[in-house]
Amino acid sequence: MSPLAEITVITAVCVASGALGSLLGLGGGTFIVPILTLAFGLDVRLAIGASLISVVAGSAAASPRYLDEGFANLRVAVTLEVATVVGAVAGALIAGHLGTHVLFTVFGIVLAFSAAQMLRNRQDRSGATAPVPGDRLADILMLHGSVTDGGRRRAYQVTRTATGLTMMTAAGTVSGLLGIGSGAMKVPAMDLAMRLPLKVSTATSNLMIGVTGAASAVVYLQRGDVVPTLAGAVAIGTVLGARLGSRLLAVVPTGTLRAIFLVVLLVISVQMLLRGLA
Amino acid sequence: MALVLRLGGMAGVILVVVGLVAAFSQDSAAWTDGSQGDLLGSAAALRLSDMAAGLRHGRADAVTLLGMVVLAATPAAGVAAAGWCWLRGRRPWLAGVAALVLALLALAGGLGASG
Repeated sequence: MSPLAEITVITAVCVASGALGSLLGLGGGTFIVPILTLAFGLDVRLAIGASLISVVAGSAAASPRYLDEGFANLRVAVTLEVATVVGAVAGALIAGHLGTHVLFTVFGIVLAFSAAQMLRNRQDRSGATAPVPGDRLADILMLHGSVTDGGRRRAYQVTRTATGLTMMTAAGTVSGLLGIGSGAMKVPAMDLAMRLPLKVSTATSNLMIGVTGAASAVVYLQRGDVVPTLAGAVAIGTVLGARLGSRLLAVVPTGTLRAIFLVVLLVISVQMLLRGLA
Repeated sequence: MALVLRLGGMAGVILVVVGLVAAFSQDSAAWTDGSQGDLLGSAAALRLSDMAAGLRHGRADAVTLLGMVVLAATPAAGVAAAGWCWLRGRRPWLAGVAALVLALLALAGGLGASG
């Protein structure tokens, strides 16, 4: 395959990846690194560098719409970004000293853990309407909000902000380490720990992914782990896909969203573990 | 913030597209027959510190890299815009949190340069 054909196929695949990533609040990076490494045989560090650029571009493309429609909670996003940025920089610096197989294995484990946690908590919460405990930090920062779901405006309370910050530090570290938006960790942290509605968690995760990705991307850019043409093509594909995904969010049912989320996470985690342990 | 993200995202993407088109048009044969080696491998990587010199010499990949720098700076600009709005809206705690995020992003740039 000629380089032009290869870059064209990569761009097309990234459109699909970006749409799914935006729809699920994962960011396209979750799928891009496995695609570039497993299907195209590219160096994992260059794949991570390209992925980070696409993560930032995808977030910038999808987030304005989420903000306009009131799905994304900007106050929650900026508060949690304190933790994700710290983690992202640490992860990006650590990644420079780890071997390829270690990165693949960590990638697989992180995704498998996220899928298992999401599945367990999904069962725990099905049909349950437990009261939301009070949270002083959320009160001070006015993190509570409201969202329109199914034609009705519904207020929601944010809780366990400190727990969310702790989980977001881990999410940021994984983002910097693996070049993913780590929405797979951010969405459960907001949805399950902080008790934000799933659509708000998804949209807020999308917004946060841009800042987290930018913090790591700066490190990769300065280290020379970015091939401009590759990263550019990946970014363009992801932006187009992210725009498509953000338009679908309002019409896709939450249950379906969760089911897709779980299946995709499990498939990718097995692929990456096989590569890492080979 | 939405406006800042739209404008920054659009500017970054335009620069990336311009850079990609220029790269293909500057050496189209290399892209179609692969005669110049691996154009997507580590040999084609470009450091941020090489960007300015690349732009001066009209290198297409430097233009693409500039687009990526704009993209990477866009979320920070969004946080700055949000912080400014909160400051004007007399929400000092939130404005302080936004300032802290910006300080951490600046630190990330510094650590990346030194590491």
